Amino acid sequence: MSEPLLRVVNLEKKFPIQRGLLKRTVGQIHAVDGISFEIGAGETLGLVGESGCGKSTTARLILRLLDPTAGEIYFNGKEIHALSREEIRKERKDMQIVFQDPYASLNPRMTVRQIVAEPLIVHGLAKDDSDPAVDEMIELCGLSREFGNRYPHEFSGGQRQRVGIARALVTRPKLVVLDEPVSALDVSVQAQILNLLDDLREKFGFSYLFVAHDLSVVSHISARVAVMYLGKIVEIGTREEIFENPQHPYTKALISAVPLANPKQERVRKTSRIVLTGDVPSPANPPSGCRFRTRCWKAQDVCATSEPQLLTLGKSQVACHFPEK
Amino acid sequence: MSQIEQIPQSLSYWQDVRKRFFGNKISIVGLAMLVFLIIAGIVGPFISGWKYDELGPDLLVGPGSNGHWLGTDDLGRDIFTRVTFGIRLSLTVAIVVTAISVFVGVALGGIAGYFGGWVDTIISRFIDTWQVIPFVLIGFAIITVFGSSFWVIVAALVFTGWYSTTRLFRASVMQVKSLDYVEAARATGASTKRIILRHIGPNAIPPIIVVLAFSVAGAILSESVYAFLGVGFREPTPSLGVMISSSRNYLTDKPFVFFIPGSVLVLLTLSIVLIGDGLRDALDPKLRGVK
Repeated sequence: MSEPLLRVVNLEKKFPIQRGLLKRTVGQIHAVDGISFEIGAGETLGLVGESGCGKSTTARLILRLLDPTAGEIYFNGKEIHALSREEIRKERKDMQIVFQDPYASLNPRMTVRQIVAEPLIVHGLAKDDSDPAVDEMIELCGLSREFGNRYPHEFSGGQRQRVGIARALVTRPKLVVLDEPVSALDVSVQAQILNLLDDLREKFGFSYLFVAHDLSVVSHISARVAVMYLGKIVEIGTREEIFENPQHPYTKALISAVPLANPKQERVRKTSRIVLTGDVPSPANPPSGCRFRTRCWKAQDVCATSEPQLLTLGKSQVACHFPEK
Repeated sequence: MSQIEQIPQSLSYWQDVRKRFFGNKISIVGLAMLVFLIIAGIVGPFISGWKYDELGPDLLVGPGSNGHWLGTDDLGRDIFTRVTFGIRLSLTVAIVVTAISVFVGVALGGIAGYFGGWVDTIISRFIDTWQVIPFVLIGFAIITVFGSSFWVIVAALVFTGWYSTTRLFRASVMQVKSLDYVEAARATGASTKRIILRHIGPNAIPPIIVVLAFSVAGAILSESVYAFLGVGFREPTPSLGVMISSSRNYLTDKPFVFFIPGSVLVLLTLSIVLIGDGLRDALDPKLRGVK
């Protein structure tokens, strides 16, 4: 079996909780607690989960914007987790990120052209922002090249996100991490941006890691989907499997929360909707055994004592003692 | 595809700042006052026909008499010459003090804010410790030991002023450093040098410019307070504080001797504060595009 573009093995990130004047470490937050997955060339993996489950941390770990506590990241034949700062800097040509907030992720003092040109200049692929590749990328992302001399504050959220996408794609990276790229946008603009991302992937063969909290957005673009809960992957499989045959109770609950476009179907489904009670437990002190057991309607004694492993079941992999059939 | 209607050629940040600063009447008034006082400070001592320490026969004469445009003090010295000289002295001291404080503040604050960790802890705790030492007493001690020369007074004022610029710049850098676009720059592969020069620097410096203006005004006042308390410049050096201090005995019968240097001090400080106010509004990115 050939090596996939990205392979993550047992990735872990703990953040220390510090208190007091001397910054004593009084505890740890297990933001990401041993997750493994792969992304093939040209493939899109959707990573979903609710706020605070560690999906954005995972995204930043893969790009080494954060250093992992443990685990391995293999990308494009390189051991990303073992590279020095300077080596990783060179590698960034092939791995880019699009941020969630298009208002915060663009430097207000730089023109659109300067922003989009920066990755090229940094990696020695262009001398300055007059390189034709810059305008070409701006246009590929659906903006007119006349906008190149404008500043970010003159644009709407959707247009700014196009600038952010142009910046991420201008070096033609192999992997693009999309960290909730549409969740800050209006619903009408979300679809435009998702279509743009899909078109560009078809054209250039990028691989995407698509991080989102919204399953319907993920289903639009991902071939495979991984569901995260409290620092762990609870289920991973193809989009069809996850949506039509969810096996983990958490996945099931998430899918039942996706609104349906047809009001008649929606009304019928409302009666069987799974509504989770309570909040996500603190990642500083996660529950023993299965982390979802405190909110799970199927939980039994075994769930508190032994932690379910991610096992292949049917076409997906699931971490549950009592998966759905 | 989304298109927006044609909007006029966009202004760069600094063009926009200039436009908004000069569109503000109050900051223009401040600027005009300051320019007037600076010109008076530069040419005043040359055109008055008197030397600042020249003792004359006319003691405490009112403005306009015997060729003394603003009168004379208790030793018969020309007040106009001394006041214009005082503007020169006050501004020079204040600008030198602010320049040194800003240099120290940007260097130390930038290091503390950018690198964080133990470097930041050391610098921050040092400032905390420094702060609890009463600043007027430090000034007193320095001047008492080393005498009241120009550089000693500058040093005394820097000792009491450097940490506020340091803390401010540290906070400013820390805030900008945590913004998404800095992380975005790191994610594109930009070097640390490029991140500091292109992304953090240009966005962390504007708040400093405003403080710079207020710090000049503060230094002018502190210098006068020192002089008044007898630990700053001393007679016959024509500092505004020295003049106010020496004239306080004549406050009731010859008020002009007191009020002329006093109002020049107020106008000088006020003009700088007005400019600082205008700069604060002009530099605020949230007010961009607001007329």
